[in-house]
Amino acid sequence: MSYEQLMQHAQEIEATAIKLSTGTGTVPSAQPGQPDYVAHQQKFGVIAAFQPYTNIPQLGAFVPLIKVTHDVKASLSRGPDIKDPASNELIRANPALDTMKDVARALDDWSGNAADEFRRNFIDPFDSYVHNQFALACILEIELVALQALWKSVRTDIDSIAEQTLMALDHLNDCHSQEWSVSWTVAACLAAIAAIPATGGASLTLEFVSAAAWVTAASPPAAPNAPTIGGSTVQGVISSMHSTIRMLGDRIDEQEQAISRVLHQAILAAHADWRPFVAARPALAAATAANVTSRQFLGTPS
Amino acid sequence: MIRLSERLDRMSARAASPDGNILGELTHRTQLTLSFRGDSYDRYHSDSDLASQLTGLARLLWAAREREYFAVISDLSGEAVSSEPVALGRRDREYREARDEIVAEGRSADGRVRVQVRGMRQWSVHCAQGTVRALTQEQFCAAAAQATTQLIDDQTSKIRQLKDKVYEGEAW
Repeated sequence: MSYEQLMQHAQEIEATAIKLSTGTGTVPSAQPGQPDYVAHQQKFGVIAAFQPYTNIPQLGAFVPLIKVTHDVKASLSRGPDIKDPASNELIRANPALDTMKDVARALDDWSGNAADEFRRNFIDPFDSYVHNQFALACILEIELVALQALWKSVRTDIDSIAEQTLMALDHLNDCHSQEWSVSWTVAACLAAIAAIPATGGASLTLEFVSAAAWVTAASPPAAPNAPTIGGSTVQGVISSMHSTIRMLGDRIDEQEQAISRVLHQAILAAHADWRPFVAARPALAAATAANVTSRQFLGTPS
Repeated sequence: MIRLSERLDRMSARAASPDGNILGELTHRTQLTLSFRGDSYDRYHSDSDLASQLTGLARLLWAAREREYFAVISDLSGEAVSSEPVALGRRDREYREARDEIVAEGRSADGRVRVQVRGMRQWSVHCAQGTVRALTQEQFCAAAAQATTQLIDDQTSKIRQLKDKVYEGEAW
């Protein structure tokens, strides 16, 4: 079974449930289009329950966005031993950042207030700016990877709900009782979600980034307390299906909130004090060749 | 995806009568195929002897069917299942008590072969007097198959009725 066939399976569930509900013994089951069939369609609400899950985000849509954030990280990597706080993999250094050392050396012969200010505001904190921007880029990438993992799990789980509902319906004629466990990967797709500090954004550091770096397993294990689809009547099985779909919706909400909380904290931290992330606008930024030596800029009072 | 219904349709179970002379195979859920070793059919001198062996065969065949059934469930659920879960709720207990008292019955079209079971455990097969003399082996096998199909259909129908009654208004 695959996610791409979700609505086809929803139709199978609907048809099987109506067949079991309306056909007994020698009484033939209702046929599509007949009033009894339509009434059962509305009563069971199978199609409407699965329909929203055909419009969830496409996993491929995250790939170019993740690549952008990865490239941003690479452009901010001071190397050679910088590790990705999320994946712990080495990130190749960007040699362009080394040119700031040349700038510092070029200013060795420059003295005075302007030189001191320039060193204090631009040269000395440059590494910190890069470091903090790198942390922000990491958060963005982690958010995207986490969302991609979440929606991948949702596909697996909604598919499993459909599959196990069909199992439960197919089993109704048997004399035994049986419940069917749903592969509940949504619960484990973001393993480190509980490790995110509630007020971590107050000090946005690589340690905070590490705490927010969920382990997004390629194939998340099913949770031990996975819900089951069961029931001894058609109505019972369909009720069980709806209940599990609602649970899936609740888990998606929880995971999305946790993901957005990290991003929100990072944004709060950046907005609360932008100075650790970017240098102040240079006082000479508005100067021109004609006025740079004036009192307004580099000139001294006469 | 392979549906459970398809797997159960394809499931087959085999067993032999206690004396080893009658072989039975259950396929497509309700289809019984009987065969006799050599000329053993003609050597059953009484209808009751034959019925007694068939009663034993039915018990063993259903036990084999149960093993196959749980093997299919284990395969599809991904975990070893050899029996149904413990009944915890009032409804489950009520259902199982009533289920064990269900009497299902099937008869051949000519009425000569009758099969009955209580709770799918206590089996009994009755062959009308003179059946062995009146029916050829092929005719007898066909009659037994008719009775078996009718019995399993009857059991299935009663199970559904019982579930609908006991679990009425069931919500998960």
